[in-house]
Amino acid sequence: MSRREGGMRMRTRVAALVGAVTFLVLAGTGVGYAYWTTTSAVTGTAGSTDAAVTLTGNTALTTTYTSTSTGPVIAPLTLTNTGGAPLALAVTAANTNAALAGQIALRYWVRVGSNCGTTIPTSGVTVGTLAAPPALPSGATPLASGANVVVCAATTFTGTFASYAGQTTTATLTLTGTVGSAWSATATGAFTQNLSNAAPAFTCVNSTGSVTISWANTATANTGTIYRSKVNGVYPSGLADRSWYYREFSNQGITGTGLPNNVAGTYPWIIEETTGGVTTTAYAGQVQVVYYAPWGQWVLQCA
Amino acid sequence: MPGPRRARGRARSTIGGGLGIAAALIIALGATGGTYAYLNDSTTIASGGKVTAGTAALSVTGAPAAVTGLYPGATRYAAVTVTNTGNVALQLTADSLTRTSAANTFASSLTVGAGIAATAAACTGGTVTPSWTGTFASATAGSLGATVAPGASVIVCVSTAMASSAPSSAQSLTAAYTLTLGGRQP
Repeated sequence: MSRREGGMRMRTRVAALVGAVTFLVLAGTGVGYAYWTTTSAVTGTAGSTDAAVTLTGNTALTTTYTSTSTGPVIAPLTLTNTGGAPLALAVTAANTNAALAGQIALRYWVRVGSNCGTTIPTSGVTVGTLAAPPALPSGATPLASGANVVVCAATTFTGTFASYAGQTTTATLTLTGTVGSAWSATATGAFTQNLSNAAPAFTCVNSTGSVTISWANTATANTGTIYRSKVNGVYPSGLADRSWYYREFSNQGITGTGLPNNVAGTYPWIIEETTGGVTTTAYAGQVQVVYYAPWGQWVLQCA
Repeated sequence: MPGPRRARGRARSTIGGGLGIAAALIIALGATGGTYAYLNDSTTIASGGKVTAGTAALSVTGAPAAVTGLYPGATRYAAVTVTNTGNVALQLTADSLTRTSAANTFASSLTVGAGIAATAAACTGGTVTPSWTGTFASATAGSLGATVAPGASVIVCVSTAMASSAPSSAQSLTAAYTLTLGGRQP
């Protein structure tokens, strides 16, 4: 091989090498070189809210049923969504006396107007018991963030009074609000419902210008038991308290603020029994207020 | 002065080298699949004219895309304006999503989306379906389906959705992120 031929081969190799390097450089850079590209950042922030509820009004359901007054006891329950998310609501209950709770009917309806009234509506009412509360009525759930709904609750003792006389149950209502599969919030409220002792046999006898009501002691009465008489919501000063030993009331006349003085009519009469610091209604009946001319006084007469 | 045989040799080697470079260019450019061909245009440049390279640039206004009050199953929307400040048309893409705040269960439950909105009101009103979505765990680059002419703007609707399965611990938390938008010459 001549020197000239050697030089030519060298230049050929150099040219091939330049070509190969050019190819590799271009191929290795990828496609970007052929595009006009740019980027820009969008910053963002996000925040989550919470789930929270409150329940009020439950204590107004505290009551004592008597043999003559078994309900309904009606009270407004206010359910409020104090969190930031719409919530599906439900109410459950836990009771200290499941048997008695099963005998107390519980009804819900959404309040219309400014109060719950004194009677249970005929429609829009859900029905259960304290032991197995009903579902909330339509319109009470779901509840938007910040909103509240007033649900009227009515309880009625539906069992045999003598079978549960003297028993007590404390119901703890739990309001639960949920959103999604894992978010929930709860609020609780309790109330106690009692049944008075079995009512003794009350006997009302009219006397001249007065009335005498007498009864046998209840099973729980003892030497510390006190009976008080309440007419139309007021304890008349003319009717002295009676101990278990003197199981009767009589009067010569009635006085006292709030009494139906000077107005003849028939009024509620309750006899309360207090034993061991616990007061229950032993008797709930009615009494007449009449004017007794010979004495010039308003007096009580058997209804 | 070289003889005729030497001259032919030089010529061959020169031609060989040139062909090698040309071949390499053809093969390399062909393999890239690039859109260099779309840049073509022709005009008569008067004597003394000059050629200026194009630029690609985007600007974003309206950020941060801030939303609050999220709860499981909820989606909130925020509008930002993206302007093509370069001199070539650009296709918009969502390139990446990066959490810039500390990890928490709230951030883990989020899905961030982006789409083009006709108006900011349409965006915040929740009527825009995102054409791209991603999470902080997985975000694949994708097109937003819009090409922005030089000097023009579009409204990008950024959606933030919270999973229905978000845990209770995700309440009252915050998260921050950066969504990188890309502009690519069509």
